[in-house]
Amino acid sequence: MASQRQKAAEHQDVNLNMTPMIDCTFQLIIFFVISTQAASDAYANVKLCWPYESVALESDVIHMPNGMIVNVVSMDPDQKDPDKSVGERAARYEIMKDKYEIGDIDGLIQRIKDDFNVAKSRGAVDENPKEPSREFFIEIRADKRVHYEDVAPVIKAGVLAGVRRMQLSALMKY
Amino acid sequence: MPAPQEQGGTNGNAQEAPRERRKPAPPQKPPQPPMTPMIDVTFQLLLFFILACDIRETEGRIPGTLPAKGNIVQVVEDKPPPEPIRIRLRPSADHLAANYEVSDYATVITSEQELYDCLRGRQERLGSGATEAPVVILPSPDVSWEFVVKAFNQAVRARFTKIGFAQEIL
Repeated sequence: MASQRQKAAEHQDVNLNMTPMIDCTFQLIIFFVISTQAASDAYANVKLCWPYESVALESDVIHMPNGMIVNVVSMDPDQKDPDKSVGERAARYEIMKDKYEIGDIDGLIQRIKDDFNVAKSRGAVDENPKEPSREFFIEIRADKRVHYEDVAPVIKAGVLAGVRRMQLSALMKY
Repeated sequence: MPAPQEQGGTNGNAQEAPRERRKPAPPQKPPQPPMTPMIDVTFQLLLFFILACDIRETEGRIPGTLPAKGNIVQVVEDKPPPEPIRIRLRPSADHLAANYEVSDYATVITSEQELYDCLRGRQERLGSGATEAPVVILPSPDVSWEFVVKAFNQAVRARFTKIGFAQEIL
């Protein structure tokens, strides 16, 4: 009789083995923490192209004291409009959170010059740089669907602002 | 005469209550920190990351240069500068692809690998210093930026160092 009670008590004291579950959970958390890219004002919502045999290089863009990103945002950034021609039109240029109208070359030139002066005052760039890392650059981060005629003003503004270094954003292949 | 011993009787211990056997103490479990709050917090974190995470593809940068402001560079060399390689981009009829027309190349190129092969072939023809030959990409205004980047990518891949953009006057 007593042994039966003892057995019953033993059965009630069932414990779940939590260790593997916690292990898995921590693994997942570590994965998310490492793989998540911090949101940055520099990145607007654009669809980038992935060129065949891409030669794009990785760089730490979030911390780039010697450069600026010019986003060319599509009118349909999330590709929701059934009319594909909507996405082929550019809506605006975005530099950080500032918005510029398409074709506003004067505004872009002024902004590029301002950012260049800020970088220079911080000591991140030189007037006559001898190393590429000390040269101011603009990065064109345009939606792959927009027409070239909407991106060309950014290139023109960069030339007129006296910037020599340029980068194009593209997806990388691992 | 000594008193006769009790026969068959019990000895003196028989009068005492039977000694109770002590139950062995249950084995003590090692003290454990309370796991419940930790698991709670862990799951909260996990849920947050799963819901808030917007997985993005890894971006890269294709390096290039912009032309100098103003006028055409005056060349003071004995050797004439190499003729620029012009790549004209036009969208296909359905705007889903692009046609690449390379100067002095009769065939219209439709694939990026073919464009790369053409640029490499041109380099071999030009000989030493061929990578210094300017490559001018001339996209038509209505071509998608995607194909402009693709052409630029192939020119960088072919190790050309002077790659520029221009716009055709139609």
